Amino acid sequence: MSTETETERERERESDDEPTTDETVDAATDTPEESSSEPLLSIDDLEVHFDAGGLVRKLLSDTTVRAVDGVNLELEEKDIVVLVGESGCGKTTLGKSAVGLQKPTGGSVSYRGQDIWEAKDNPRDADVDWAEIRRALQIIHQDPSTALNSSRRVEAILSDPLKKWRTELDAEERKETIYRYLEYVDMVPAEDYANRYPHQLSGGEKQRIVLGRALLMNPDVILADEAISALDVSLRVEMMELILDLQETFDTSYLFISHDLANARYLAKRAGGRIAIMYLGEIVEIGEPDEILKNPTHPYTKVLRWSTPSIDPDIAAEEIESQPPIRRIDVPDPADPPSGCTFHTRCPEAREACTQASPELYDTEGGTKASCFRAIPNHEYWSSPELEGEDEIGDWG
Amino acid sequence: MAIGQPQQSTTEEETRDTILEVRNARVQFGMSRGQAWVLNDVDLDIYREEILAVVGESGSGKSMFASALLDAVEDPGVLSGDVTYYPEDTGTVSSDEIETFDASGSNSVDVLDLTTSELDRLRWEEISMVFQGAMNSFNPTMKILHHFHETIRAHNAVMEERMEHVRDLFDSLHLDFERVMKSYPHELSGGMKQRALIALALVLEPDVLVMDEPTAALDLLMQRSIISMLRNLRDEFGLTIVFITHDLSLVAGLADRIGVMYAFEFIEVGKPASLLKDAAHPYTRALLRSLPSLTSDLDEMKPIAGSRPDPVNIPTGCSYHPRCPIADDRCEIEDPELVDVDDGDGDHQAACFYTDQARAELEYTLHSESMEDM
Repeated sequence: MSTETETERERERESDDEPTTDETVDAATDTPEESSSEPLLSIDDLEVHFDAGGLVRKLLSDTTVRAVDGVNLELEEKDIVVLVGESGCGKTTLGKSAVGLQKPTGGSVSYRGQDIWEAKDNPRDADVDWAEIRRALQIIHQDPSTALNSSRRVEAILSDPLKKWRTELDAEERKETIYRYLEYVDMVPAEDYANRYPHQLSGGEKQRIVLGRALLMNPDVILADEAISALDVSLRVEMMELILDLQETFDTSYLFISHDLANARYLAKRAGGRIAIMYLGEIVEIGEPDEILKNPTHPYTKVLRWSTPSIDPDIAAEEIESQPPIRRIDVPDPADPPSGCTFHTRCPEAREACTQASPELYDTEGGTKASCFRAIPNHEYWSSPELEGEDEIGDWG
Repeated sequence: MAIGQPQQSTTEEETRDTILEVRNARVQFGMSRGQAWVLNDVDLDIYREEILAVVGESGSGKSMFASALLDAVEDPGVLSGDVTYYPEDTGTVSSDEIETFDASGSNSVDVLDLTTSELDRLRWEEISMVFQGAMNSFNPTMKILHHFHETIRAHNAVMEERMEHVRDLFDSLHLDFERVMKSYPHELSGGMKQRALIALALVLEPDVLVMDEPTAALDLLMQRSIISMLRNLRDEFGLTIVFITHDLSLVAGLADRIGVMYAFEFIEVGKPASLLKDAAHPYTRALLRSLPSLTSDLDEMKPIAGSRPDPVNIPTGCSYHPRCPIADDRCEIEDPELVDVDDGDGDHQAACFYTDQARAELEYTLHSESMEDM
């Protein structure tokens, strides 16, 4: 990108910002930008519990699924956190709660210090109003094909957010804005793409339209839920690079959800962000990508690292002979999670102490935070007896 | 690709024992915009008891290649060319069935010449297939055991003998026989269903197992675990496995050979050690440069420029030439064949005129940072 375009984009961004800033000033008596001590997004002791059973099951047993169970996470301006975990670990539920699409059953989510559900339920007391919060927190879904209305042209799809949020624009200005954003997401010539229907676009192009649509709202946080998983491998780097470029241009923060540690590393490392490993509704380890991958403390992080295949044929050939560092392959029933540390039933390092108490996130020697007693040198874990007889790696069912 | 068949006459004498021979396989679709080629004159030998990984991006023709092996290309696609299956000479359980395919006595089966009922037998008893997301093909109202019984009965096989074999398969796949058999599909995890389905595909002891993205819908841990199990299955049951995937790193440790497809044909075939460490085709090199791993140097990563070819309008000459940084006039006109690179022992082939130049000028690194023991 030439310096000229850079400045041009910067300038355009400024002008784009103006109306939004005005809105914010109107809505809030103290400008959010001034309260710099407040993180952009703050998730405190968040819980999302679902009632899974029907009436009979409910009477017989506790069927609550703890999709998210006591998560703390802060997102700064221009931050990236990549949530990584197996399916069913609660990463999507956490992400949706973070952007106000899923009401938590406990704890809170605050946007610039304003509890977002308070803002919705008690608008009179809110410093930042709900509509502003909804605009500031956007989502990109995994499958771009289903996220776009197949019977409308790209231009029509992209004009919706403008009609709602940029009411001062007339038709001509809207068109100009749409073209400009199409150029941001590398859809050139913009005029050509604006006139297409979604089925006339490739998967990567559709995903770029979805990204462009989210950016049109000038959001502060974008939740990208497996946003590159549906793309061809050779296109993933391109999409990630685009996301990183646009993060520079728009100062957006991303909460990125991925099951792929290699892609998580790419994004987090490039953006100077963090990787958060989730297991059964909790963040079990969080830190910078190099720390997470080179010096993981949590045994589950080591499992995910083992699961990520190496492209080097010599290393890969060795790996394929190795046993996974885990005692059972299958995840326990989330409606009936194990006592103590929820990973103890699969953990190769588990001891008696792990069945009793649940570890918090502790600072580790490797520089990460991990919820494992092994992070504490003098913890009773070390004198606790090892778990016996449960080594079931022979039976992966 | 131009049709080159230097090996055809010598197939029988080759030291490597060919089990499936594909020649001039092409699949075309009539589309409103014109004829679409989704498999373009593919020649390939698949060797007995090897694990061949077929790697390609979406729309490269890799699934079409899998379907062609079983003459399972769906209408309106039209498959032409030859697919020849060479059953094992020794008297195995399936030797009786082979005769029904081929009355002439010569020990080969022309797959594209079979009648519907012969194909049905070939597809379960000789060459079996597991599709992507096929774990959802279990009937939700039937217990897993029922699926096995039904399949065995439909092929008039001896129930006890087959179920004994299934127990062995379940052991190799780390499945609890009693528990899985009495379960309904919804009671099993995705990984368990997929493994049960692999066992079902192998119930009649086929020699070849074709798998199309068999692990794509599964979690990484299950994916890696199944990959390890496939190695054991091959060793234990003498299987030949064709593993179709978009993910090159998934098969780096699994495959004996990797075939890379681009624009509906193979552009490079070789053993992982040589193909991954020193790829000869510009596309393979670009692909390797675009794949992030846990140790790759991020500044070196680069997406592949340009877009994938349109099946209705495949570029002339080398189909990769519009995206290739070293392409010249010759590449625009002449279509390169798969030829030996390196010492020419047939272990590594690429369809490019300028493999030396590609290797010298198009750089990629597999990894730059070392990671302590996994």
